Amino acid sequence: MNLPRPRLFLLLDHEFRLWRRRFSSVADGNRPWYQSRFLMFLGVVYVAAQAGDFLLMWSTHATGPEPTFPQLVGVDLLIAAFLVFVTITELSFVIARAYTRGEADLLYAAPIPPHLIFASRLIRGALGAAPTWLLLLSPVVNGYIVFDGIRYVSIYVTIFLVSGLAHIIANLLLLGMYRVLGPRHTKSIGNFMAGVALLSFIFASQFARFPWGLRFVERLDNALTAFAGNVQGWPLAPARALLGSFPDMIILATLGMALVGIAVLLFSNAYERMMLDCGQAHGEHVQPGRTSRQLPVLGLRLTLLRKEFAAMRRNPTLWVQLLSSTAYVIPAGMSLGRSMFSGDYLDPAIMAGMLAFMSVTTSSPVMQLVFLNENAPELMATAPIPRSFDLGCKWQISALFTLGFLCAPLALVAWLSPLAGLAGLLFCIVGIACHAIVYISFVDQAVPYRNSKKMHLPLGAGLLTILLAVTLGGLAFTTLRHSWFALVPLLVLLVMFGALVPTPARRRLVMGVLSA
Amino acid sequence: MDASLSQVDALAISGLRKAFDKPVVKDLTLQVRPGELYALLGSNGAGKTTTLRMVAGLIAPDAGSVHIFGIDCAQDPLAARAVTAWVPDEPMIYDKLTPLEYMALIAGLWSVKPALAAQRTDELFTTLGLNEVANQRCEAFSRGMKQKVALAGALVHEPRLLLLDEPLTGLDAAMARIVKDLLDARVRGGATIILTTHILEVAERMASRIGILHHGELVAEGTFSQLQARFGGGKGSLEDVFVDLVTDTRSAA
Repeated sequence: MNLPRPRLFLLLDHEFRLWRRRFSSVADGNRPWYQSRFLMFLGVVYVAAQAGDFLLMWSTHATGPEPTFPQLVGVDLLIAAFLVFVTITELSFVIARAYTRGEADLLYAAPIPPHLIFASRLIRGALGAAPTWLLLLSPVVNGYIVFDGIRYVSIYVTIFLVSGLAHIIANLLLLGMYRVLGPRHTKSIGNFMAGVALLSFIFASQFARFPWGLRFVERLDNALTAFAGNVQGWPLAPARALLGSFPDMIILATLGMALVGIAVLLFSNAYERMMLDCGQAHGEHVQPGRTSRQLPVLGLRLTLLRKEFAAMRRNPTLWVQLLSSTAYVIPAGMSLGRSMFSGDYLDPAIMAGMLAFMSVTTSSPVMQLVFLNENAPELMATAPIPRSFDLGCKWQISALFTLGFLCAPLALVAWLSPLAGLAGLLFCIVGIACHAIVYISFVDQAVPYRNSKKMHLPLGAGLLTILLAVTLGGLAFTTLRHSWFALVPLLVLLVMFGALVPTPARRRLVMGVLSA
Repeated sequence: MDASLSQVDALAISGLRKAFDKPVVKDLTLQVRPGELYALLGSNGAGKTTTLRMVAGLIAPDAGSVHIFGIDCAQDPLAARAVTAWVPDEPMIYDKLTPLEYMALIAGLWSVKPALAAQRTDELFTTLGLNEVANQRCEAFSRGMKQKVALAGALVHEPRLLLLDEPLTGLDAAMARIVKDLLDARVRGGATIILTTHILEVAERMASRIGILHHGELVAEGTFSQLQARFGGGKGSLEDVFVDLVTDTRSAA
């Protein structure tokens, strides 16, 4: 006789199936099956290479000297910073999930106790939070494993546990915000807070780059050495776990499970209310009262700019995504700035990679505008205006927003270090230029194919073009290091891709130059 | 209206073809005269929406031509768009804009003078019952409400050719009546409307002429009484004619 599976496992199975399919849809993006399999194959090769690397170094297993108290405190602070960082990113994820309409209705309409639904969500989220970080940090971790011994495999375990904890904490934060702010404001304020927190975090993470930051670190190190605390104390358990202590890993895992248990016991009903409320909370935003007699009709350009600006301004999720994406530019930008204006040497390949990263990042607003904000592509396609006109306005607004988002933090950087500020200005230029690259090679062609398979061809072409252009730019940048002439290739990029955008003929010219 | 323009067909489609994985529209030729309400009927997947999307310039045909009031859509798409409005079955409006802002956007895009746009908006909002939500963002609207906003947007620039794909979907009975009256008034005012619908009573009562597409081909065309005479033995509803015709064609196929 087939017995029905326990309902928690049924729910977990459901959650993981959705997760797998979400991942596979991101991975293949509706590409033909052979392309998606190829991408997956590449992923497998990457993981296998990492595993091979790990196995090859198995023989180098060596027990290092016992860590000192200041070292453990430093590692603990690093883990705490990682926890905060992952919590912030998970917060955006759990907010988006809470506001997905329909799914909660279906689950909570079923005869299943709410604590099982909450538990399955927490477990899935906690386990699902880690893989990205494991993958991203694997080169660094493998470096430790290679150079310092096999015991550093514990870093993987600790990342896994801390990411899980971060997801649980993000859920609890969301519940708290829902309680305080209500369903209408939780999404916008929560997302905004997450964005600001991320920006502050990334900015704060750069403080050691400044002389006063470095002095602070030295003083802290001296103070910790003088203090000589107990290395076996419980506050240092995460650091010990990271450095290979098995009992401390058990403590962390137990803490995670206990947190899941407590959250499920105490907050299942609150979670149910939140999910049902948020799923239906499409706030009725009322704009300042006008009557149809006061219809503000403007000229064509202003009409389009106003539409893009309003759509951008009123979308808090988009703001946070922009804030997050531009926030990531700061560390890379400061590294480039130091390399350019000081004696530090940065490898050309790393520099080109950083520029590529920054260009893709700063180009994200234009993609957001076209793919997330553009609710009515058919309206624009049937309006009696050239398509380049509409896209030109999108580009202008996205460039404006990128500049706005980048300039505010970079002004602060410039105040602390004029050279780093100057570097920031360069990155703004790169960002604007790359907006144009994305615009000409990707967006313009992709609009008619929105949500269709054909979209991926211009997407791939656009991304390849960006990588090619910024790699060339990066090499020029490196070659002309320590020289103001380094500005030249960037300005050329700006002129080429910015000023020449709007007409198809010019676009062909730019593409021709690029091909040449 | 320009006298010379009134002589030409509002829409002239000739030898239109489109295939995706398989042929969807096959050598379609049809004319719609100015001031007609033409109902394009067909079962699911018959090619109605694809045809209308080709007319609106959203899909490039594989072969054939489309002329709107004598303007070749391939040669001068902007001029064709200037006299056309397209309302798809899924209302396309901006979630983050209010209905008033949406109307201002449309008026700006089609270069309607502000005073005229304000007057038309006022009339349309009053007719469609949108005044109370005029300053609310559209993201919270029901599908029917979005449909009304989209329809108001399509009418604010007084298009000479209005392409409507399932315009009554999501509307309650009372609002559907109001929209039908509104469309009737537009036709009486000289506008041309081409609509697709699965509600055959609407086509039966409102349409000047009816075309029935089946597997991408125009299998029947004419007024309701002509179709009734040719395919229904002079009696029966449009539904009877439609079902008989589609079933016959299926059997023949």
